[in-house]
Amino acid sequence: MFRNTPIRQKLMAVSLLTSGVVLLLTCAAFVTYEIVTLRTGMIQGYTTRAQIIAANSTAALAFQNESDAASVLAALKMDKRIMVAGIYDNQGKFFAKFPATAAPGLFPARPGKSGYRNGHLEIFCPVIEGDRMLGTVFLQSDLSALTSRYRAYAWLSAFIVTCSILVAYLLSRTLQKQISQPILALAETAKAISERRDYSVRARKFGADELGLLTDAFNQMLADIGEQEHALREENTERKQAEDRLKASLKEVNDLKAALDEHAIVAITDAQGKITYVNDKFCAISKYSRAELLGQDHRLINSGHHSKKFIRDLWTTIARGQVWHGEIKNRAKDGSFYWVDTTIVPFLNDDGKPRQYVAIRADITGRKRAQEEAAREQARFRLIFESTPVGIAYAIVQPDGQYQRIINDAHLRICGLTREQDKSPGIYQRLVHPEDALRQQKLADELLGPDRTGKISLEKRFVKLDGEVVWVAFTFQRRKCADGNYEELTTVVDINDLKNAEAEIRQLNAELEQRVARRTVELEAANKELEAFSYSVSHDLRAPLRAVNGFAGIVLDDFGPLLPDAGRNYLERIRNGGQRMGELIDDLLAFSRLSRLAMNRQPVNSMRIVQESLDELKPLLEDRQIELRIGELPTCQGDPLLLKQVWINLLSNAIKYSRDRAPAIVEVGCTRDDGENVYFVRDNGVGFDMQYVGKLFGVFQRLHRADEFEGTGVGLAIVQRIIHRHGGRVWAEAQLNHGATFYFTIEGENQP
Amino acid sequence: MNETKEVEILLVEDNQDDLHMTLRALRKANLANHIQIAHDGAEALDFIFARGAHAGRKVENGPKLILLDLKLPKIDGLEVLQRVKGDPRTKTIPVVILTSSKEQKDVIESYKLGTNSYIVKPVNFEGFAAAVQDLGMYWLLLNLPPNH
Repeated sequence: MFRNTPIRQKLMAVSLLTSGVVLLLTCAAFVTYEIVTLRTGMIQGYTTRAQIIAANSTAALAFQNESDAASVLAALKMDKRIMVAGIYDNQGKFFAKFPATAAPGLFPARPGKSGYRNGHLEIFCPVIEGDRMLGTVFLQSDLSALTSRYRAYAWLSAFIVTCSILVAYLLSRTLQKQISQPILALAETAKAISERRDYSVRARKFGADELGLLTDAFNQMLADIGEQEHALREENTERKQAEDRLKASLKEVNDLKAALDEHAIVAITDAQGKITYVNDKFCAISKYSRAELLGQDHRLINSGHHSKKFIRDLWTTIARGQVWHGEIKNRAKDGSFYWVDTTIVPFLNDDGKPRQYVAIRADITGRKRAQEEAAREQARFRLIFESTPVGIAYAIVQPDGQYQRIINDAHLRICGLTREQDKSPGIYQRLVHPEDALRQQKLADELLGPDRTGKISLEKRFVKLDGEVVWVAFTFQRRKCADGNYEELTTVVDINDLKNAEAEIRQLNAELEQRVARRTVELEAANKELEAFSYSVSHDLRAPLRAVNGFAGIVLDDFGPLLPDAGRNYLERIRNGGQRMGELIDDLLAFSRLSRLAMNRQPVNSMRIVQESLDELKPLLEDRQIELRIGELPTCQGDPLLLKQVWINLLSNAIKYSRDRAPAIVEVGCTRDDGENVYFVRDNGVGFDMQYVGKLFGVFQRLHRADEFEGTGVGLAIVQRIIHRHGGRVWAEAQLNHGATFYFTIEGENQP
Repeated sequence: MNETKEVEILLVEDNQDDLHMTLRALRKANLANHIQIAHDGAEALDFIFARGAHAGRKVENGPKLILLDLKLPKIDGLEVLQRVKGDPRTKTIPVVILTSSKEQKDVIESYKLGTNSYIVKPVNFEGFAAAVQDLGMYWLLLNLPPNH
């Protein structure tokens, strides 16, 4: 209850409580004694009074004198505390009462024993006369006397207790300091020390009593603690430092391990080779899970690539406690292979025997593949380099003139050198053809830069050591490399055959040109002759014809009436013959002119020239029932005048040879055959027998008599010549009496 | 030939048949009154430029029309044409080429040299006569030459 109250209050409480309890007990004893005494005294007092009244009322009783009895009782009125009084006779019968007005109910029915009853003091006292009892006096007093005395006691007690406690408080206040102060000081000190952990503080000593001893002991203890604490602190500091160092180095080890794990493939095996640790990288590259690897040995990932000796050497090395280093090809779970650059470090136990092996690996699969690829590349390069017919020499030249060079067999073969000869200094100078030396020098001066970099290529000759001259296409290029060296590439291609062929071709060409020139001259002469021939035909043949014709006409004109009918008829025939010959000559000239005219190729609108041709042929259409069917005709490339002649000739033929038909049908169109436009003109005329088709396009060839169908037999020959000059073909299909169709194509007419 | 008489037509023709037929045609058309005939180019030029046999003539007094064959002995028709049209005194004289040649190069050359007409002699007799008469009529009667 007071456990947590301060000692000062505890001391005060103890002294106050103690003195309070003592005082209270004392007061209580005293008051109890007083009350008992008072009550006994009161009973004795009132009993005495009752005895007095009894003595005084003996007579009244004996004589049954109630009024005497009443006056005796009336004397009681002096005592205010008597509330009622009465006298009973010897039978116990109520005899007199006081005060006279008192209600009979206030009295007990019969006399009883004296005592405190119902808050009143009731006294019964016998009235005795001699030894005869006359009756009984009854007194009833209130207890106000008692009550006031009780109050007085209570007040007194309260006062005494209060005063005593006050005094006790003041005393104990002063006295308790003697005890509590040193203790409190101690406590303060202890608290301060515990709070500040400052063991240099000392408690103040207040005296040489037990508290003083206690203080001394306390201070001594503080001193001891202080020392110990100091020692402890030093030890702690040391330990802490050691711990920190340990932590730091542990962290460093961990960091190193993390770094190692990050970089390398790490596995640890025990002395027997069983895997006890693998890092994530090991799992990743081997594709085994950690669970699959732990407890296994490295045979799990053995690729079989390495020899037994290789493996044995490895184990011998590490079993001796030496570090092994090498490259290993392993096989992953999925069967793929990987290469690791491996360092195995044995960790030795105190006996110097390997306790475990730490294997640190780096994935060098990429490098290995690159190496393999490089080797393949090298092999490929070698193959190409050695099998190409192009002679190649490649050199790396250092600025000081030292060089490394590779040269292929083709180069040596072309130059006619052996490998040994190739190495002899200045050998290539000996191969230079005297006529090429200056040219090559000049070319190099022109094309190569200040440090002789750039490229030259020329055709030149090598004079082999045995004197044979060989033509080569020679290139030389030189460029500066990033490392300051120069690389030089020389290629030579044997073009001897080519050169020979070239020379041959040149000669052939020259001959051909000569021949062509000769032919051209001949042709020109022939052409001239032909021209002269046409000219003379045109001019000289017509003159006599005109004479024949003309004079026959003049004879008829001037002397007709003189001649007999037969004579006139003959003259007519002479004229007709002459006229017909004139027509033949005209057609023949037109035909021969075709070969001589220059072609004027241009786009030709076939629709338009067909229309123009029909316009020109209009006279033929007069009085004819003709159905003309003109289909779609594409534009073509050709000489418009010549092509128009073709159309005119074909159309006029179609119109002419269908003149017996009613209606005559002439159809013009174009079909595509094998990517070629095929134009055609069709009629429903007399046609012809296909057995004569070969004669159709010959000059002056006719399949009809002149009296059936007029004509000179030149029209289709002209058509054929024009079409041939256009590089096209012309042909005909017909059936006797069932019409004919003429087809032609034009070269270069393969566009849709 | 009367030199003093004014010549209306100079006919240059070496072919006697053609000459005969031409003259006949002109005669039929009453155009043959004053015709001078030359049988080759040299003769034609002598007449036109008043040289040789015709030295007495005045060049300015030239014919009103020259009918000129192309194929002529000695000097051919084209050269005659070139001389006539190249001389300011004679270049206004109408020259009609009358020839058998249908060759385009002859036609083109003739027009380049300044011929006034180019007529191909038809083989057909009636056609020939008609052509000669027509051209005579045209150049002598219808055409209005510049005054000298």
